[in-house]
Amino acid sequence: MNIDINKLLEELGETSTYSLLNKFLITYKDYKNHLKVDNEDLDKYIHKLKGSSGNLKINSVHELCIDFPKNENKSEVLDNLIKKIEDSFLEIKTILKDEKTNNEKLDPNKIGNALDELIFDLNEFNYIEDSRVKVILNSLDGIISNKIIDNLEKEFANGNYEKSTILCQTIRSLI
Amino acid sequence: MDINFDENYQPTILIVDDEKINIDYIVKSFDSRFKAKITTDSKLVFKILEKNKIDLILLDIQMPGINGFEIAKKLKEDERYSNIPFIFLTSQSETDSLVQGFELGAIDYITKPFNLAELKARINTHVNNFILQQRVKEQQKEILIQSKFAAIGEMTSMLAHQWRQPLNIISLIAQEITFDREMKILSDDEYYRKKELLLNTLSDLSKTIETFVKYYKNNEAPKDVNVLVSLEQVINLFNEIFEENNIKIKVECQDELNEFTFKSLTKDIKQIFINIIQNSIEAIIKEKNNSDNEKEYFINVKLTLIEDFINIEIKDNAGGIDTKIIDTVFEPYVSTKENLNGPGLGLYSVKMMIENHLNGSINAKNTSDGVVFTIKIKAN
Repeated sequence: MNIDINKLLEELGETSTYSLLNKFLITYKDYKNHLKVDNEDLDKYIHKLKGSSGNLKINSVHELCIDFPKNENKSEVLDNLIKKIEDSFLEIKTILKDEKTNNEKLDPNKIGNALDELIFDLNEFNYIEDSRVKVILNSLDGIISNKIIDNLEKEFANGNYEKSTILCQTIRSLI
Repeated sequence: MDINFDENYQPTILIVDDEKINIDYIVKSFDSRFKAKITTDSKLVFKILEKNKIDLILLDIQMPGINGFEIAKKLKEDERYSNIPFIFLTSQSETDSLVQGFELGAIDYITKPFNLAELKARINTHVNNFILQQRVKEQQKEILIQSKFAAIGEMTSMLAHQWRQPLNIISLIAQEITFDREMKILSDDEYYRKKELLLNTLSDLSKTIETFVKYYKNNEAPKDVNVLVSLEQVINLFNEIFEENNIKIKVECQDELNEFTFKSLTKDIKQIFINIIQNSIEAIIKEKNNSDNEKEYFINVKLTLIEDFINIEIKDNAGGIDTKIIDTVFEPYVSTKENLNGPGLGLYSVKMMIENHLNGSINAKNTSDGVVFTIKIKAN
C-alpha cells in the first residue's frame, strides 16, 4: 500500500479525505511531463510533491521525494517515482470508488446567483469548499461546453482565483 | 488557552501557499470560528492585506515569484502590517533557513508534512495571543484617551485657579476707577498707576494662557529635553497653589544634570511631573483640612544621574498612600484621591509614558510621614 488511508481518514474524516485525494489526482495529473531530468523546474516540482504527498500520507512517493536531492542517480529515482505515483493514482481511484459521487445539481434558475456569489468570494480571496464548486460544475453540464467546465475545475483545483474568476464571468455571460 | 472571544468576531487567517492542495489540508485543521483568505499567488498578498483585517498569516517559504522571506521582509517594513503575526510553512529540508525566518520576525514555523493536531494547536495559540495583544493595546489606547481628558479637566481647573486672583484685581481696579471718577478724586497720577496695574495684570493673564497653550501643543517631535528646565516650568504652573496653601517646594539637582539633555517629548516629562505633583498637592490639602496642627508641608524633588539613568525622587509629607492600594496604585482606575473622585488614570498614564516612551520605570513607597515616587529614565 502506498497510502496510509486509515491514518488519513482518522485525521481528516471521510469527506475531506476523498476530496483531497481527488484533488491530488487533478493537481498532479501531468506528473509524467514534469518528472523529466531535463525539466529546469524539476527540483521545485518535487519539492511541492513532497509536501502534498506527505500531508496525504502517500508515504512511498513522499520518501522518494525526500531521497531525490541526495541520490545521484536522478533517472533511477525519477523512474521509481513515476512508478509509485502511477500505483498511488490507481490506489486513490480504488479508494474513491467507495465514495458517493456528488451528482447534486442546482435548480437552473439558481445557477446565475450561485455563480455571482462564487465570483464575489473569488474576488474576496475567501476559501471556497470544493463541494460548492462541484455542485455548480454539475449544474453547468450540458449548458456550457465541457472544455470550459474542465478548465474551471482545473484552475479552481490549482487555486488560481484570477483565472477562475474570468472563467466564471465568461460562463455567467453565456447563461 | 481558554479565551472568551466576542461571539461575533471571526478571526481571519491568510494562507499563502502555491500548492492549493496544501491550503485545503491546512483549512481542515481550522476551528469553525476562523475565516480563511487564501492565495496561491504570492504577488497578491498585499492586495489582500489592503482589503482585509488579517489576524494571522501562514506563509510558505518556497514559492515562485516572491518567496516567503521576501514577503516577510516587506511585511515588517510596512507599518500597516508589521504587527500581523506570521508563521512559516516549511519542509524539513528548509529548517536550516529558519534562523533567517525568525530574524525576519516569524513567530513560529510549521514543518511539512503537517501534523493536523499540532497545526491546529499552534494556529489557535497564535491567533488567541494576537487577539489578546490587540485587545490590550486597544484598552491601553482607550485608557490613555480617558486620562488625557482627565488631565485636561485638571489643567482647566488649574487655569481657573490661576485666573481668579488677577480677575479679582481687574474687577477691583475697575470699581475703584469708577468710584474715584464719580467722587471726582481721580488724579492723573492715580489714573496712570491703575492703568499700568491693569495692563500688567492683563499681561499676566495672557502669559498664563500662553503657558497652557504651549503645554497642550500637539504634534511635538522628540527633542533635547532638560529635566530640570521641564520641572521648573511645571512648578511655575503651580506657584499660586503652593503659595496659597503654604506648601514648600524644594528642588535638588546634581550638577551634571544642570545642562544635561536627552531626546524625548517635553510634554511627556511635564505630564509626569504634573500628575505626581498634583497628587501631592491634593493629598496635602486633604491632610491640612483634617488636622489642626500647624505642620509645615513640603514637596521635595531630587534629580540625580546614576549610570545611564536619570533618577527622579518626588517626596511629600502628606501622610502617604493608603496601604490597601499602594501596590496597585499604577493600575488603571485605582484612585488615590479622596472619595475616589479622581478617574484613577493619572498614575497609570504616568507609568505608561515612563515605560513606553522613556524606557524607564517608576515605583511608589510610603515613608514615615508621606510618599516617595522614584522614577528612573534612560538617559540616552
